[in-house]
Amino acid sequence: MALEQKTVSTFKQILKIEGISKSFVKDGKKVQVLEDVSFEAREGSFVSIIGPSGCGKTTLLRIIDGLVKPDSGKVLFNGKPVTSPPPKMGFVFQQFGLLPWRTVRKNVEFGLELRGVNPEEKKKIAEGYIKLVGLEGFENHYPHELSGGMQQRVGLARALAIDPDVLLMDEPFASLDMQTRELFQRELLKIVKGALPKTTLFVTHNIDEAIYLSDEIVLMTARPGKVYEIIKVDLPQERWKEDIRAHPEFIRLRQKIWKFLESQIIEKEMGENESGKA
Amino acid sequence: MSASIVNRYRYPFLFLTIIVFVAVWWVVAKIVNDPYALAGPVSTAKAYYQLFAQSSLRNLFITSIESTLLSIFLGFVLAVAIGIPVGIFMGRYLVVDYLVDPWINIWYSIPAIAFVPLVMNWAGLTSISALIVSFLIAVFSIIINVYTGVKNVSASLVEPAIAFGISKRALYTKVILPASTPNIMVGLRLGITRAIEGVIVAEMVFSVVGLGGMIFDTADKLEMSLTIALVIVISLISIALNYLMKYLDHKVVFWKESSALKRG
Repeated sequence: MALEQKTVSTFKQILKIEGISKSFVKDGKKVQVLEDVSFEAREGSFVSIIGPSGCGKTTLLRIIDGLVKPDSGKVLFNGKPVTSPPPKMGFVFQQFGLLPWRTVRKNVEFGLELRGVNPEEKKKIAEGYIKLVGLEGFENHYPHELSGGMQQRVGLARALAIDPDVLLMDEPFASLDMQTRELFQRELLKIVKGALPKTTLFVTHNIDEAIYLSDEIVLMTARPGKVYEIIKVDLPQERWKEDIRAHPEFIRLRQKIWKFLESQIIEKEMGENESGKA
Repeated sequence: MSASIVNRYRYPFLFLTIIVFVAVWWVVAKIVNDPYALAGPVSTAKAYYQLFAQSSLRNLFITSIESTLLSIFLGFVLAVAIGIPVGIFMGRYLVVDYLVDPWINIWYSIPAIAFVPLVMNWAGLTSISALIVSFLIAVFSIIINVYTGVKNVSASLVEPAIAFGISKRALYTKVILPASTPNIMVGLRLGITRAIEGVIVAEMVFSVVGLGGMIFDTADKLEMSLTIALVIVISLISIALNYLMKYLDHKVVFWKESSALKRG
């Protein structure tokens, strides 16, 4: 019986994105950013959204969190439509978005504070997450005293501290150097696929990163962003235990995705050149 | 010269420039050789002795300082109390911005002295008039800087707060206001300078209240050594208040990354 329940919950669709379209007005011209984007995320899965820059991935993530309203389509989180940021979604930003006048601990406590958690409990929870992301001993440091990688650890701890069901990450490692980035990827997996299982939506334009982290990759076209293909990543779980970057399937996927992205980028540049001539 | 050596000798340097200044002053006063045009350092020192030794003069000096400081303080506090909220509203609401901004700019460009005759008609030749003038010219520097700060709060600070479900009120108290403190402090530092200026200008025009009044009065009686002595007192007050604001600035915006610009 217990097993049956578990099986059911494993396949529960926690997040449904249905026919999202969005356009902006720029310099008096309407620019279609997203067109009829649909996909789903199973509970506990890691889904990456990848596409050429300008394909609206970041906008899509903001729509999913209720920060931006779509022109049409809807986002269902646990079956309910999202209209404003849901309390059970955590967001990790590319530029970290830490409050520079707050210490590491106070930054991690931010979400809890807004939820009215009492000071003692707040402190205890925050310290647990600070430890989880490996920042023990830095509780009383200010963001400007930390490296980019450490600041993003604070950003991750802050998002985890509110105990979200879904973790949204917007190119969180984009401004980190390569080594820091790879280390952080491994630790992220250890957390969201191990210590503290979360459904994770991860926006990136780094192919290796997407394959390494994901169960599924949503491959998007250049602007207007549409879902081109949803790729299942058939690689062993607990990927932090072995180097899967040399796995034949990894290499096959990398080639496949790059081929597509390359064609998109070339197409876009040709298009721009032509409009430039006209 | 390397920066560290310059740093080590910072205060000796300052002391040296003061010595040089007094020496030049002394020489120029000797050359001019007219106590009604320019009093030298020695007679100015004597004027200080007079200020403290002569009881009638001392009483006047003390009440003048009190009156001037009180006008500055109240004018400034009033300017802060009104300038900060107005600046915040202008920064956050486009409607308020459009309505108020042209007026702020017009008023800001009016020289302090132009307010004096008007205010004199309202409140007479009193320290209350002086504080009103000081308020009127300090408040706009504060409004403009607070407004600039609030308007330019980075979206990268506001958006995460919204994602974490912040309430409208908490967005102000926990994000927008603290994020604007660097600009607010610039406003306060400019504001205090302008408040001092306003009080002194008004007092000089009224010529019967405060240190400004005393300066005007002594100059009128051609007691130039006293005039210079009092001008120095005002600059010392101004320097002290500016240092206080600088110290506060340093304490409040400790979190701002300092620029890495090196000077030779």
